[in-house]
Order: sequence, then C-alpha cells, then structure tokens
Amino acid sequence: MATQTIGETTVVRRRSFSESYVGDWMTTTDHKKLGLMYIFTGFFFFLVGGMEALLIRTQLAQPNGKVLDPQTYNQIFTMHGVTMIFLFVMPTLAGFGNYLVPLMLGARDMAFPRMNAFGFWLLLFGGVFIQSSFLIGQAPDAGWFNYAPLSAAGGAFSPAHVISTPGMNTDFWVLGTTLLGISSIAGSLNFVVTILKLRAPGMSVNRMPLFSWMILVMSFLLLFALPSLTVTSFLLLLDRHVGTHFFDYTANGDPLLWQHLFWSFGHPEVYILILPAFGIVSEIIPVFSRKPIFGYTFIAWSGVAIGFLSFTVWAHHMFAVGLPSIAQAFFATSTTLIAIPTAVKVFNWIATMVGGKISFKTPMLFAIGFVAMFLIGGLNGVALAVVPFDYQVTDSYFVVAHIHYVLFGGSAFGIFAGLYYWFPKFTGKVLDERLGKWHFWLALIGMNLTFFPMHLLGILGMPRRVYTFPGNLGWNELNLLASIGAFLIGVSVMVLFYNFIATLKNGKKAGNDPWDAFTLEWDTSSPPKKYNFLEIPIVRSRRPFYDKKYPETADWKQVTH
Amino acid sequence: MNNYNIHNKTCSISFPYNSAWQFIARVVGTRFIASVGGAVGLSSSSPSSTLDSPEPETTQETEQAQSPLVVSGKKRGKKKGRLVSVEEIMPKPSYWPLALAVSFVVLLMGIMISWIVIGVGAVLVIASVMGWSLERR
Repeated sequence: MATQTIGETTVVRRRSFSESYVGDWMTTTDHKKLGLMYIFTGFFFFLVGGMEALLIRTQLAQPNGKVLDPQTYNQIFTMHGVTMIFLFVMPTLAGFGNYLVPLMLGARDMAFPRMNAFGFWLLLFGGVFIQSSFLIGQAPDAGWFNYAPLSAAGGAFSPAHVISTPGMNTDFWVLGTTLLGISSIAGSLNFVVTILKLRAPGMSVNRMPLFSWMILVMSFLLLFALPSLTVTSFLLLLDRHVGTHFFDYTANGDPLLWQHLFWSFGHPEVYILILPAFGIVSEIIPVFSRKPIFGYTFIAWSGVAIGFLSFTVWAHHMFAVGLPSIAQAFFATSTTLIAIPTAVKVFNWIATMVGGKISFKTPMLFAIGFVAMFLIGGLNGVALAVVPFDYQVTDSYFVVAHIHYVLFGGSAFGIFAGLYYWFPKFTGKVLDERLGKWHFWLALIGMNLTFFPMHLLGILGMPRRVYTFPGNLGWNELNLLASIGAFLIGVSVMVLFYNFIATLKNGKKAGNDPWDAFTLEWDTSSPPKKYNFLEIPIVRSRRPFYDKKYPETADWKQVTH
Repeated sequence: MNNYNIHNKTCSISFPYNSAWQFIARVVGTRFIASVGGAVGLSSSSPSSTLDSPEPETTQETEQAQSPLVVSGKKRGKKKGRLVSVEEIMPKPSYWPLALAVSFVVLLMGIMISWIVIGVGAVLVIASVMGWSLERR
C-alpha cells in the first residue's frame, strides 16, 4: 500500500510496480537518477576496461609473453579501447551532464525526460550487447577504429570472396556502436534543447556555468560527428552481409574511405571526450582558488573554436597512407592551429590560480593533475602534427602514450575531479580526503610510470597492438616499467572504490554547500529534492550562489556581463 | 507581481504567491484531489481521516507526502502561473523508454541472427513507439 498525504487528507491505494525500489529506478525519468545510473554504469565498465588493460600489460610485461593467445589478445585490446571510450568516458561525462546541467541552469529537469531515460537504457543494453560477445568468443578484434579491410568481409556475394574477418566479431562492433550512437544522439539533443530553452530567468548564455557551455559544445559535436560513424558502420554492414563493395578493393571499393569516414567522427570524438572534462576543471579551479574564473569569455569561446576546428583535422590520423602534399600541409596546419584555443584554456586556468587562496583538496589536486597531464598529451599531439615526425612514430607506442595522456591524464582525471567535487551533492556525504589523496598520488605516479615509457618505446620502434616481442630489442625494461605502473593505477582504482563504499557506509555528512561554491547546483539540498528548486532562482551574474551568500560583494554589483 | 532588476532591465514575473493564496489553493486542491480519488475508487478510507494514517515508509513516499505547491509553467493549454503540487509538473515515470531500448536491441540483433528476429524487433519497436506516443503524461 502507498499513502499520499496532502494537507489534511490521506489517500490510500495499491502500490504500483513503478513505486517499488527496482521499478522506481527502471521507470524513472528524473534527470538526477538517470545521471547517477549513467555514472554507475560508466564506472562498472571502467572496471571491465581496466581489467582488460591489466591483461594487456601482463601479456607485455616480459618478452615472448604467453599469458593470452594472439586471437584473445586482439579481442582484449580492441575491447579495452571500445570500453573505455564508448562505455566509460562518454557515459560518465553524460552522467555528470544529466545530473548537473539542469541544476546549474536552475531548471527542474531535462527538456525531454523520457528521451533521457531512453538514451540511458540504450547505452546500458548496447554496452551489455558488445561485452556479451566475449561469452561466445567472438568479441570485436580489429581495433577500436575497426579499419577496413581488417574488418571487411567479402562474404558469399563478393566476386573476390575476400573474408578478412569472418565470424560475428565485427558485427558486434558495428551493431554495438550503432546502439551507443543512437543513445548519444538522444542525449545530446536533450542537452542542446535543455541548455538553450530551460535556463533560469536572467541566465544569459554569457552567464552560464562553463560546464554547461562545454556540454553544449560537446552535444553539437556529437550531433554532427556521429552520423558519419553510423553511416560508415552501415556501409560496412552492407559489405559484410549484402555483398556491396564500399570497402572491397578487389571490386573497386576503397578501404581508405573507411579511414576518412571513421576519422571524420573519430577526431571530433576526442574532443567529445575532453570538452566536458574542461568544463569540470573550469568549475573546480575557481572554487578552490577562491576567485572568479579568469577569462570566462575566452574559455567559453575557445571551446566553440575547438569544436569547429575538430572537424578539420581528421586526416592527421592518416599521414602515413600517402595523402597528397597539399592535404598533408592543410591537416598539419589545422592540427597545429587547434593547439591555440586549447592553450588559451590552460593559460586561463593558470591565471585563475595565480594570486588565489588555493586549497589543495582532492578535487583541486585532480584538476591540477588534469592540467599538467593534458598539457603533456597536448604537446606530444602537436609533435604528431609534424608530418615527418608522424611518419617515424605512426602506429607506434608513441601514439598510445599520446592518447593515454589525453584520455587518462585528461578525461579520466577530469572525471575523478568531478566525482570528488560533486559526490557530496549526489549523496550528501564527502568522500574521505585522506583516501582521496592516496588515490590521486597513486594514479598520478601510476599513469606516468605506465605511459611515459611508451613515448620511448614508440621512438625505439615498438608497434602498437603487437602481441609479443623478442627480448633483444631493448624494450624489456620499459615494458616492465609500464606494466608495474598499470598495476599501480589498478591499486589506485581499488582505493577509490573502497573510498566510495566506506563513505556511503560511514561518511561524514556534507551539508548542502561543503566547498563554499559559486553555482546554482549548490543552492539546493544534498541530494536535491525531486523538483530541484522550490522557486526557480533569478540569476544576475556568473556566480549566482556566491551572490546570494555574499550580497555585500555580489558580482552583479561590481561587474557587468 | 514581483519586479526584479537585472542589469538595468526590469523583469516582471507574475507570482500569485502569498500566504492567503497558498492557503486557499491547499485547501481547495486537497479536497478536490481527495474527492476525485474517492470517485475513482482509489481511496479505501475516509478521505478526511488522518488520525490513523500510517507514516510514510520510503523516501519517495515522504517526498510525496511533503510535496510543496509551486507555480506552474504553461502545460497543455492550462493556465500559466497557477499553483500546483510539485508532483504535477514533474515528469512521470514511464516503462516505454526501457521497452523501446530493448526493442532496438532485438531489432539490431536480428541482423546477426535471422529475419524472424528482425521482424519481432520491428514489431516491438512499432509497439513501443505507439505506447510512448499514446501514454498519458
């Protein structure tokens, strides 16, 4: 039985399934619950992808390793990439967006709550669908970017009968990424409409929190980039099952078409993975420096510039395929150019910290770690834009080092920073500070131990994705070091999960505003009520909650923007 | 009428939100809900009796029990600015997003399994889209 008391009246009725604990989560359209479900799912797959990474590093810890057989190894490294990109970073950042964007904007929910739920369920089932391929031994095995002709199959209809990847491995990749793509499109449409239409009175786009800005740019990137992936996956599906020849070179198809279409999605995807992390860091650094963000407008619009430029750089992944010189020059220039708006952000974060009263709490440590690690990843990315250098290290471990500095040192550190910062809002409890610092230092040392030697391995000629290596190439010690670092990261993740459980069980209460923060999500209870705000707040500056707490020094009295 | 000065622009927001209004809306609103509940057979006890009503057991029930009144936006032709229970303006739970997601998975799995599964998936997708569209919000 459920009771509903309104005023003096009690209505008694039979409890429906949607009001039971499980049913409530299964049928919810509340953005906060869906956000938590996204984050929980993302971290579950983080564990899966992490275990895959440890298997890879165990196999490569010493020469002539035989921990995995070659076929399984191909599946493991492919699924590590797919899992971390599509099932950890994207959903977790989407989860933060779902939970926080309406709260930051002063809205009661997302614009399309049921579509929000649809996006989550599609993500969950898409993830389970791809991972279930392991159960029948047919996990995708052609790399996370699934290059044709590795992934193509001429099949029975093809005149050439070329079967590069027989079996269902590639089909799992194609259909799984299609499901995840639909989920992302549903989510990004929702973000765009929510941000453009549901802002509180007075919150112009020029006063929006930078996290919402970055989510907006990311959503547009998804909307424009994902169709390329969906279309190219569909063409591959036709090649494999219907007998078309889009990528079949023996029938005048072109395998390079795959690379062009894939990377038209794939490079914006890198920014899809990093822009929300930029937003998270842009929220945390000012709060823990006790200053407004330096260069708000530059940070916001450099995000937009990155968004536009990200569509002009895709062929830097393809320098080694023999592009014409003019194309190489164009893509090298555009890739170098994108470093400018990125550097604008880095300088602004540093300028925010300069002269501030910095408090080195765990969220801030991860935010600073993010800036430092992303800087290294960005700089070696610029190195890869230099065509002759790229020729030397293309498809080597140097590229693996670069992508991990960007995606682990960048996106994952951003996620950890956001998690420590907003955990009190999600649960009403603060994650333990001592364990948080252990987590940070273990992760920082572990990631540098793992990925820095990979630069050297790449320069020494170790190809990426190699199953094993002989012991006389000078790679042994560096590989061992990388493997030790990987296990150190594993330990750091265990510390994080222990912290989760211990805090949820016995953590100290956070209060509504434990960090003395600036933005609207803190101007409500922790965790927030279902309706977020009893009265929709009126916004007069970029730091509305600060204005409310400190009316004598309110931003709107001093600054006009 | 409340006036707010936002950077030299005056915004007028019409809030019929004072204690008298709140009181009337609460009394009329709850009596109305109770009478409708009784008419459709949802209520199994005297609507006005609260003496032996059980304490809410879950957070959800507690929240429902304490649902405050808020000013509504315009929704389905209803007047903007009236006082409503917060439950009324929040999105309702729905099975259809889950059902549609499952249907999509079945449809796409059919490509790997057989035409029959594709057919089943297509029927499920159509049914879910219809259920979604026709659901009362």
